[in-house]
Amino acid sequence: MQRNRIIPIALLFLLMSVGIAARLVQLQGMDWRDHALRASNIHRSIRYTPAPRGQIVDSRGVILARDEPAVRATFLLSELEPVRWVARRLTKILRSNDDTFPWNEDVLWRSIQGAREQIREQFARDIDHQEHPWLTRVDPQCGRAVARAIARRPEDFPGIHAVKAGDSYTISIDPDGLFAGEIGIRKMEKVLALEPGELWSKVELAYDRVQDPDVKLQEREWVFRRQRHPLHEDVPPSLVVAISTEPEKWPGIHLEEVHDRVHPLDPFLGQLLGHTGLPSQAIVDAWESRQEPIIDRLVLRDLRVFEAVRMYSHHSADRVGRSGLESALEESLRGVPGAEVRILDQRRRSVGSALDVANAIKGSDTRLTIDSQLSRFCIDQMQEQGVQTGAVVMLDVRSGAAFCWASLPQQGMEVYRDRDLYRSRSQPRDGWFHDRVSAWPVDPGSTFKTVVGLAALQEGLVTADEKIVCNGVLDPGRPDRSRCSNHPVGITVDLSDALARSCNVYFYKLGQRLGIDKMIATGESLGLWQLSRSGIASEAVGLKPRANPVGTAIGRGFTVTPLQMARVALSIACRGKSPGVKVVTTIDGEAAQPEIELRHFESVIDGMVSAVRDRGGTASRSSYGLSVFDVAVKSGSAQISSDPSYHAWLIGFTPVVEPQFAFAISLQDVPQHGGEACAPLLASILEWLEQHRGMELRR
Amino acid sequence: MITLQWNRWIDDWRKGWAGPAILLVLSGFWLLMMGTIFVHSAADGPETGFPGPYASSHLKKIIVGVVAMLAVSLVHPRRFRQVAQLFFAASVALLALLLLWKWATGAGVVRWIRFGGIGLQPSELAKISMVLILADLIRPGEGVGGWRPIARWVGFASIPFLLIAAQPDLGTALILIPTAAMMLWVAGVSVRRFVLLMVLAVVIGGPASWPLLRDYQKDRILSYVGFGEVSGESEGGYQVAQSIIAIGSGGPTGKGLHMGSHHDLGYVPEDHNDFIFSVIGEELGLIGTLSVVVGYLILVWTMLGVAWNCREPFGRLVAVGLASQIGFQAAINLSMTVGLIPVTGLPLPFVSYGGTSIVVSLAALGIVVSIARNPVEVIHPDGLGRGSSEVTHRPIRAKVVRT
Repeated sequence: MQRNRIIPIALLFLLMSVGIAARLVQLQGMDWRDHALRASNIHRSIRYTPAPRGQIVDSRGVILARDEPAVRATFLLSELEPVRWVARRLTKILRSNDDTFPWNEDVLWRSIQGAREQIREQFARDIDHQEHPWLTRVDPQCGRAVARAIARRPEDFPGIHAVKAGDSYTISIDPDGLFAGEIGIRKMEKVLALEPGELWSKVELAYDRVQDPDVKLQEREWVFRRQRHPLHEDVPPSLVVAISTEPEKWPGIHLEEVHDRVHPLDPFLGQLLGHTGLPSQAIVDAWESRQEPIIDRLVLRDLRVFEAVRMYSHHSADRVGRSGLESALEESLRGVPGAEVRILDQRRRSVGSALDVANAIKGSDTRLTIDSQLSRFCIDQMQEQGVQTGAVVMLDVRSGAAFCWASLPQQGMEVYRDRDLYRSRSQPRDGWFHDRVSAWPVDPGSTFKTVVGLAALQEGLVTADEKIVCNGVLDPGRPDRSRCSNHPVGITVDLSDALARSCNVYFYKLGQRLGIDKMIATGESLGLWQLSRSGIASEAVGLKPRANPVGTAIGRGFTVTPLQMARVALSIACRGKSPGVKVVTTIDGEAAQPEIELRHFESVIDGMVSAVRDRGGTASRSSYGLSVFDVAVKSGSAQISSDPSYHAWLIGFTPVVEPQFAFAISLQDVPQHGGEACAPLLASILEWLEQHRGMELRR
Repeated sequence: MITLQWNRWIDDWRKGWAGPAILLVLSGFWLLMMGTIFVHSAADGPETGFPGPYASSHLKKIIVGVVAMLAVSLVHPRRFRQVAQLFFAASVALLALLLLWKWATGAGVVRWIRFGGIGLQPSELAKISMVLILADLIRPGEGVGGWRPIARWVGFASIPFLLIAAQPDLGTALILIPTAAMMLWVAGVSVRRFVLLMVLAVVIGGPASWPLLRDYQKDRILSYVGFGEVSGESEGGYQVAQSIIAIGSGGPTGKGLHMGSHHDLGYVPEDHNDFIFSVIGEELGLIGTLSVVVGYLILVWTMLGVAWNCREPFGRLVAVGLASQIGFQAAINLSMTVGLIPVTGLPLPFVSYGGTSIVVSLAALGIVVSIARNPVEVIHPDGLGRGSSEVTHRPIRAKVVRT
């Protein structure tokens, strides 16, 4: 044990201390001005980029929804104006030199804010900003100290000057330096032709939050130092150029690359596709409850943590699905945000290359089963007929794919950009926001007779060849109720005839025999009052019948959607078990599993074929143009008021043997009956399919 | 009887509080005070009254640490020797437990054991336990003259080193090397063997450990030697660059408390922890930074002075070991923040925000205070019984006993 050996250790530590002290003298005694300037100039910035959403395309690759790059302006309170810092520094100097100086930091800050008002008046009157005396007759000792501090660190006192005036000093404000943030934002208001104060009010809201004692301190810190507050969406290119080339004139304002959601065929399929928007508070709360962070709210030093959490994180500028498929497919459409670490200089220009980059990952593209060309043709045809509200839906028999989906009225993204328009369309009874195929149930009229026929046959309450005589009324004792005027009075009809001619009396009697419950049960097994579970966001179930089996049997007193009636047609075309509806190629809907014998389907199909081919069939008129096609249909008309106004229906499938697709057409509030209104439309659609899709559908 | 026991206890407590012990406590408290003020400035905003949430938490740990320091300073040094092996085994077991947990769960970095709301960093305990066990290896009459005792010494030092490095916590592991080396030096190893060991450590240990380093550790070293772009990552370089800007911008007198905008705007990483010296530099300037350097120099020199005064090998080696540990850790942290060495991720002892680190540093200070108060153990030849004696006792009259 050698005690003397402690001495070299002590000398070693002395040497290390001297080395460190020498380095400190170099940094803080010799080069400190350079470092002070660098501290005020250099900023490290982690810039997060929202991810583009996936595209939505139709079955033939036509883009229905895509992202387009856009630029938005945001502001950072701490960079916007250094007023707080300046107030704090001045208070410290003034109070340390003059014990009697009465103002603390808050009072001084409020005084500066008072000076700001004068500048605003000048700005409003387009007067050039001039240096403005703020504190006069400042004690010489204090004034000298302030002047010295400004001379020593001018970057810490932007827009503040201390000038000797006689025995005292005057401290003045240069607004272009001290209030550069507000001046930049008000300039922006002018360039964008906005109301004065429209953008600045957003800054004041943020300031209010910072000063609200009820808000948690950490939250206030965040709002002041880190949060990029949205200032203006869709900044025009001229302003982008102006801010990018002279960022020092726009302090605190940041330009961010974001994405706008565009539906190129807008308003086509508007309600089905839905819309996107910035995340609402409810969405943000939901993210928080699922512990999915908003990535641009995290304060990260590097990208290691980012890489760990990015897969389940969001960006505050993310466009989030708010309705329709955009909302229902949110998880697959949304992408993964990216980030970039850069060093920026005082003018926020990037210094050198990015320190680290993690590119945003685009969301998954989604393909729909819908043929947009056919669907738009249907819409055009409906509009040509003067139809205001209606729906056409066609389902592929083998896969259940909905390849035609037409809904009127169409409503696109324009309604979310125009507040007045939005308000005017918000009446629920107008149904502007509802897709008429899946989310707007109406009375099915006589198309429901197909369901009643199947139910009665399966229950053994009628046979296919059982005949009745229709005298135009169910109960001759009450001739004003339960009438039938769909065919000449006094004819004998069996099930096939009753379906072809849509005999009400025949089905009144079946309704009486079946009762409500059996009709509902059969309807449910065929897909009525059931969600298709095909991935679409807003799907209506409709109202089930509650009483009056006689009225129910001819489709009165309850509602169904065209999609549900198309599922009924699909089940009949498949003679029982049918595939689930498919709207998104990756999502299979719930299949219908009716327990009805095959021969009963054939009996109903026989009636539906006769509706087109037999004289007296509801869709057989040659003027309808349907009789040349190999098609089975059932028409329906639900009278909706005392006016001659109907919900006209036509459901069916084609070809009759080995069917390719089933369909449902619902034209609402039209003056014609079902066959008259819908059959010509179906004929034109079938013709279009032959011409453009090479189908062979003629007899 | 009870009163008599109390009197004896109080007499024991009052004994030995001479210059070195008081200087140790004062210099330690100076650093603690700087730490508390600047943890508040770095982590709690200016709007928060003192102490803010971080400073409060820091103060609580200081209170626990001071209690630990006072308690340890009352314990006689021979007790440390008695528990050295047990303490070493326990801390090694905790480190091994952490590694088992890491391998079982596949976790990336595992440094803490948490029970309830309390976290414990076993590597901090291991730092002290290694000093005690290495001091315990030197028995009276045995030297470190041959290679066998040196090998035994290196072997014991390697156990915590490897376990900590595997966490991975390379910074803490590296601090064990100069600590063990300084103790070996004072233990009396020949100059030739000492130089050979150091050369071997640098020539073989450096390249051999390179493949074991994590990517970010390699990046820090590459960044320091100017090859930051090799791996496309220069995070370490960035941290040091920002730290230098913050310290330099403080100038001779600093920007003032809570006026350090560079660290306040978030450009200085870990500003309340590893880089707290940057905050001191920015807000107090050269005056503040030099006062911290001088504070450490006084603390370490006083600890070495305690070692010089101590006539008992165990106490002397422990004092040298703990002085080296605190001194090197401080020197490495300060050098890192001013850009003299690469980023190592070591906190500044007594100053940085931290739990186990503060408590263990204060406990280490307590051990040295205890040694300062009991520089030599004697049995008086006149048969008065066991007791402690001031250093002014002439060794020739005292029989040094093995405890």
